[in-house]
Amino acid sequence: MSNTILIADDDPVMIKLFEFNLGKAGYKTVACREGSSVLSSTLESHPDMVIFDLVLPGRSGLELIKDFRSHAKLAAMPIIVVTAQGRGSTKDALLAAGADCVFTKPFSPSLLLAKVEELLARQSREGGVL
Amino acid sequence: MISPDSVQLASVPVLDEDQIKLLETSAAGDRAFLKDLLDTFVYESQLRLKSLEEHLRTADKKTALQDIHFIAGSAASIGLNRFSFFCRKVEEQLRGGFSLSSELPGRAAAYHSEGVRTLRERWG
Repeated sequence: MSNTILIADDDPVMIKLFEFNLGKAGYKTVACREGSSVLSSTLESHPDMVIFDLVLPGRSGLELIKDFRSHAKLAAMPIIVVTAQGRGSTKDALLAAGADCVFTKPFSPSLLLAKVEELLARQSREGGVL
Repeated sequence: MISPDSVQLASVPVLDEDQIKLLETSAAGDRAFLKDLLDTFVYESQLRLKSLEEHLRTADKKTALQDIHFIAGSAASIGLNRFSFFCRKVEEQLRGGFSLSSELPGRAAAYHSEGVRTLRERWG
């Protein structure tokens, strides 16, 4: 069974890029454009990983990381954050809050896919999420 | 009234060759996908440019910042280097509390058109 990845980005160009690259690599994707719907979409669709933009309408990426890490069922969910803000302090804050990895836009799809694979393999070794 | 420097912008390449090559490589020759990606960008960015113009007119700085941040990020993702650079400068100036030139929406539209035209010539 292929892994499912939830993508949250308010930019449909980014969503199409994620869907295209992840789909080509054999992953199923679920997309949402609102930060405020990420948690409910995750609980509904049971993804194996989430990838979201730092700046989302309704709820920021930083708030979402905290939501996931404090949620009984979602605390172990692998989280990748993508951001246009390349500052080291932003990246450090996201990693300190519990993101597994941070990509600064624009980024290489092949590097993203390699990280997705690595995090899913780790997740599989340590047990499922939901 | 402040507006991003035209002389400085002229030295910024229209397209981000590295990003365009990344997109083309990941598309693996799928021209339809690249065209669809560009069409999606054009549709969304035009909506947000209209929204930006309206929010600058009504001095809604918070929403104008969201608009310009979105456009700059989206433009960078699709490789429109000069247009994204212009938008980042506008974003910096808005965050710095500067009032912006009334010519700004027209200039934004011109840099947008220039980038889209150049990319269409490449992707069809």
